[in-house]
Amino acid sequence: MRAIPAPWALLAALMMLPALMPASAKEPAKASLIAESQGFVPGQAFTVALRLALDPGWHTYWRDPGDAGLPTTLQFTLPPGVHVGALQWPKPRVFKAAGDLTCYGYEGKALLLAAITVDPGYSAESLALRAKATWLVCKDICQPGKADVALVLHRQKAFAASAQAPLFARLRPGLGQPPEGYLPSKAR
Amino acid sequence: MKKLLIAAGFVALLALPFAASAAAMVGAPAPDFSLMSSTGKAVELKDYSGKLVVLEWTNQGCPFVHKHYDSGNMQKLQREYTAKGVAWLTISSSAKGKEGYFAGPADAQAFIDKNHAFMTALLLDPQGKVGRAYGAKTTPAMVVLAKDGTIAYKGAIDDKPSTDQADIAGAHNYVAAALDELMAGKPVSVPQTRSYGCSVKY
Repeated sequence: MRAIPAPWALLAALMMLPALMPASAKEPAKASLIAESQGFVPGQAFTVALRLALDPGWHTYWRDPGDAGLPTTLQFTLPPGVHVGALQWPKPRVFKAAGDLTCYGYEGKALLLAAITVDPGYSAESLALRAKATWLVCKDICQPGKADVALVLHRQKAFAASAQAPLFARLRPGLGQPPEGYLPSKAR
Repeated sequence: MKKLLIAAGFVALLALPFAASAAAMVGAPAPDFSLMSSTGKAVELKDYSGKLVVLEWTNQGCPFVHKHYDSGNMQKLQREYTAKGVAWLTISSSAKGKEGYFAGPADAQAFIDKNHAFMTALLLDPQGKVGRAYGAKTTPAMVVLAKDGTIAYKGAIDDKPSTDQADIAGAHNYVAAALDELMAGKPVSVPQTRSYGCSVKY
C-alpha cells in the first residue's frame, strides 16, 4: 500500500479537527426556528419562535437587558400574503453581578416568539419562513452572535400541534411579563 | 428611651446601603481619585483641575470596546480632543482574575501600544472604587467633566447600542457633542444617557 504523502496526511488531520472540538468552544448559542404547528392553514395564525440553545452558564438578554448587554433581535423575510406580528418575550429571569449590576435574560433554551398569519388566499403548497437573528450571549465574557434561520411548512387542512408545541404552551402564561422586581431602567 | 435608640439605630442602618451605593450624578462635583497609570506613576484627577476631562471605562476583551477600538473610533476621538486640551483618562475597573484586568503598568501600556491609543493616561482601578464612585456599569461608559470639576455628561458613547462597527458612522456621538458644547460655552444638551456595553467586571 502506498503511504499517503505527509502534507496530505497533515491536511486531512487538520480538516478533522473541527469535528473533534466541542462546538461550544466557539459558539455557545445555537439558533433555530421552530413552530407550534406542524404546518399552516390559509386564513389562520400560528406561533413560531427563534430558539437559542445556550451552553450552561451562558445567557442572552430580554428586550430591556438591564444594566448591560443587548436584546436579541429577530427580523423575518416572508413571502407575499404572510405576515408577522410583534415579538413576544417570555418572562425573563434576573441576573446579578458584582458592582450592584442587574441584568434580565434567559438561560438554557431562550425562545423569542412571534405570531405568523397567512392570508386566506395564499395558494402555495408550502411556506418558507426566513429570519435573521442577532444576539449577545454572555457568561463572564460576552460574545455577539448572529444566524440566518429558516423553516419550511406545508399546507394543512387543520391545525395540528408540532412536537415543540408543549414548549410554547409552557411559556405562554409568562409572555410579555417583566422579571421579578422589575423597575424600568432610567438613564444613568 | 430604649425604643428611641432602637428606632435611631434602625434609621441609621437603612441609610447605610444608600450611602454606600450612591454614585455621583450629573451636575455633582466629580469625585477625586488617585490611581496607578500605565506610565508607572500615580495620576490624580486633581492634576487636571481647570480642564475638560473625559473618563472612559474600558475592558479589552469586551466586544463593545472592540467595536470602538478595532474601528479606530475611540482613538480618533482621543486624538482629536486631547489635541484641543481635553484630558482623556481611560480606566479599567476589572477585578483581578476577570476579563480586562491589567496586572500592572506594563500590561496597560501594551494595550495602548497595540491599539495606537491616544488617551492622556490609562488608569488601573482593580478594586473598582472609582468605577463605583462614578456608577460605571458598562464598558464603554463615558463621563465628561466640565472645567469647574462638575459632571457634565454621563452615559453611552453614542446612540447606537450594538457591537457592529458599521453602526459608528451614522451614530450620534454624545461625548463629542458634549465636549463641543462645553468648548463653545454652551450647556450640554444631552447630559445623561443609558450606557451600553458589557458589564464592568468588578
